[in-house]
Amino acid sequence: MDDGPLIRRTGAIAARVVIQLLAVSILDGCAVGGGPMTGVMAETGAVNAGGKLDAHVHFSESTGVILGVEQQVERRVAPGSSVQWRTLGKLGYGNLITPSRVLGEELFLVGGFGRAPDRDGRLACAVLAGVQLAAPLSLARRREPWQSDDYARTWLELVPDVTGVLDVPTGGATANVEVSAALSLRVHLYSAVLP
Amino acid sequence: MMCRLFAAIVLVVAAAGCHPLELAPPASPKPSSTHAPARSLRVGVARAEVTPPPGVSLFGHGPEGRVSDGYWSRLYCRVFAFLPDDRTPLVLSVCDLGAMGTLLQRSVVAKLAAMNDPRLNLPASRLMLTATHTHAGPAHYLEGDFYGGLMSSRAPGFDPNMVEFLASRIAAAVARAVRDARPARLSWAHTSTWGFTRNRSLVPFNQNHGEYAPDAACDAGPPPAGLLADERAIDPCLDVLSVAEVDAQGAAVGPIGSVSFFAMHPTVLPNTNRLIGADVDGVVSRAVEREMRRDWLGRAPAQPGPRDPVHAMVNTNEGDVSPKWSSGSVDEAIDIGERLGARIWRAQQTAEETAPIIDARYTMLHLPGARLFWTKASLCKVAELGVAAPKGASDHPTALTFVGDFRDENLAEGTEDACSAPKRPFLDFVQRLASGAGSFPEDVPLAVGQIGDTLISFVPAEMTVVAGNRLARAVAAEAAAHGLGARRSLVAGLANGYVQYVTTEEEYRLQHYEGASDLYGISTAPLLAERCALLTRAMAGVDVSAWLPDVDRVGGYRYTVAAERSRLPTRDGKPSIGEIEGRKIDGLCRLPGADLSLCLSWKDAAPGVVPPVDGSPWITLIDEALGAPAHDESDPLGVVDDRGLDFQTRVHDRSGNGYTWTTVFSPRAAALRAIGTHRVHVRIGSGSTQLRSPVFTVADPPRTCDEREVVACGVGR
Repeated sequence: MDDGPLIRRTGAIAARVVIQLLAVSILDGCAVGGGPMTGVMAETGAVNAGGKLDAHVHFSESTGVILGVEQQVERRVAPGSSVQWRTLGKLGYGNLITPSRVLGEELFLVGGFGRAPDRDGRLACAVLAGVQLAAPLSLARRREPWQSDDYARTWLELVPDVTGVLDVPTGGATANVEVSAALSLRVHLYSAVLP
Repeated sequence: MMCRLFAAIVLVVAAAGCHPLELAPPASPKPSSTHAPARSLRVGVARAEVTPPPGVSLFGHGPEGRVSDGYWSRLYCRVFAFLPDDRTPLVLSVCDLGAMGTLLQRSVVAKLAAMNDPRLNLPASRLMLTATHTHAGPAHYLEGDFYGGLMSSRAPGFDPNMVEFLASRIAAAVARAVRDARPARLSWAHTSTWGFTRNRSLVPFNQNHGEYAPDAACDAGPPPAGLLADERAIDPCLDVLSVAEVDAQGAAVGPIGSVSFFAMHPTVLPNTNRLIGADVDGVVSRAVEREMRRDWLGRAPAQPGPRDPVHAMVNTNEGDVSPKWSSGSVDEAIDIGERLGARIWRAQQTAEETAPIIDARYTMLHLPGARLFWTKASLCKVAELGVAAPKGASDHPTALTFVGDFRDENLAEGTEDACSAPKRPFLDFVQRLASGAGSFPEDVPLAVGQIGDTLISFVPAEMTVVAGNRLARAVAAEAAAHGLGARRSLVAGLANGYVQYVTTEEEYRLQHYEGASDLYGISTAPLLAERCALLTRAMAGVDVSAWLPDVDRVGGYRYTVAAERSRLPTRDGKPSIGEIEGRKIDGLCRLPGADLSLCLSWKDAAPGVVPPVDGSPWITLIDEALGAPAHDESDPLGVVDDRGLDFQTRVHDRSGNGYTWTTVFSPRAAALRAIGTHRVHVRIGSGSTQLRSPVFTVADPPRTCDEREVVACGVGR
């Protein structure tokens, strides 16, 4: 059976999906941000401090779907000292900030992998899963729809968030939970070209 | 196996982004098929206010379409219900909108059916909705991803509430027209007028084979001496259908309304405009309606009857025809509209009575890949915009005209085998990949009707002068061959759906703006002509089921829409009038300049809460001595309020817990005389929500606005 037409059609559709994703990122809105964070390991009480960078694509103003990635790097500050990192993919729902709305809410399911301490404090590769709550606050003046229909507009947001992540070490060690808080500065690209 | 699994995953992901919707077939009766003149005829007219609150995007200028911040003239749908005895009615609704959607047409039919009144159970095939094509009407109600998506306007999106808003108001007006119908007779004036329009796409026009001549039936004659080439390359035909109420003896009592058919893309206002408005066609209709009201008063002041006749402007083959404008201002739109309105009124008075023939045939046309029966050519399977389309027409270019790659050649090389050749697709292959099926409407209605001695082809597009002329000739030839007694054949564009422009094959090959906006390729115009000819044959009683098996059968309707966005401000917006602290008029001043122009600012409720959403006057000039609305001396029954052309009203920023609103009042001559002889003020709102401005006259005008106030009034924005 000749799979050629199917492969070509599949390729065309895949290309369409990729192009739409890129177009959405640029035209439907996206954001990049970063800032300091601090966390507490729930089982041991160890305190971590560091920073994070994240990037989000805002798929739809009405459905509020957000896709994102986040990179965290922390150092254990007490007890002891060690560097740990987490790479997270994020699927979220939010009331997004728009020129007419200065306060948003976002809820993410996060998952990924990283190098994090187990319950005994030893660094180990881990699979991660958790949730994140954020409440971005626009630093720009609120505008009415008729004042904010430029093709594209950027503004800064201050984003406090709280994240709970379950670290499941791949070597079989006991799982651990980190609860962290962060305060990020985010650059939001908003577009009036796509709905 | 892996290939198929991957394909399945990708298909599911892709389908999630563009799933088609479907309306069920309307449960409407089968229309009658009798073509002979009716024994008697009743006609009803009504006007539906469809002005949305500021805050919606304006449709028609593509990526230049701004978000509205106010309104200049109210938008109306003007409805004519033709009710021949024992036959199926024919309803014509002409709306001050940028385009007409099949979704909207079907939604109106559904709302009428839901009213549970046998008189309103109209077949979808007998409801003809057309748009005047104002580019200052709202967006957000059209199906097709591109008409609510990427670059359809600034702040695009499809809003089902907008469809509901428009459909409910149009349906209510149709109901009023049907219920208020009166015995009537029809008259047609088939004449012509030069000097109002010019061809904005002369080079493609000149490519057409054979010498173009307007239809002899409209008595055009040669163009007057002195006209430029672009002023001669138009369709000068002006057809006016006049409807008069008759008494029991059949004598005319007075005008019920009239419908004008003229080829003029009615866009005078610029693409940077933010005010909702009906543009030049709205002025024309107001001018003719004013003359008809005068006519009523002159005939029999004490006689009962409709004192609010309705006039509608229907676009014919206007795709490449613009009004002759220079400044693009509101004042110029009023000037052109008043002059054309006067011309129409003169034509209307020469109309000759015609037999009460009311008939139509209708079919749904699936455009992708559609084949012509007689030449075996076919349309393209995918609708595509050419690279010249987003540049805009030559009289209203968009910003993209001046951007790098868009300056290049419009024609594609090496694509001779492509269906759309020589079209160079906008964004090249990316358009095909990123849009896919459903980006533009694929199923559109097509209809041919006869009203009196005139055949009207209702096409869902803007046809160029020659493309429309050829279609009308094809229909006329078919009518003559099959004994339909018609004196004139014309095109009603922008009807019941919208697939942008349709050009001749010769024009298409140059791929200027109109050709690049001919979505389904070079054979679209011949296909529409062929199908309309077949519908005409069907109206003559010939069996055309071998070609068109679904004449007058209206099935389901599949469509896609762009991402949904809430764009229509609602009545429950905040603040409401009762919540505002310190609702008051903040200032009244005279704008600098020779003519009297006043600016008034006040604090009020949110768009969507205040009028014009309820259709009543919001801002009214009040005669202080009478304590009643000041009379517009040019219109015996008219008053000076924001339903006319004298106010430009804008909403601005939030002010405390309310919004700052301003209106610029620029009275026309008659209203100015009223101000000169009376002490007047402006009233905002009615009942307990009234605000009163300070009293003023021409002799005692308010102080001159300072620079800050001039800016705040939005003048020159």
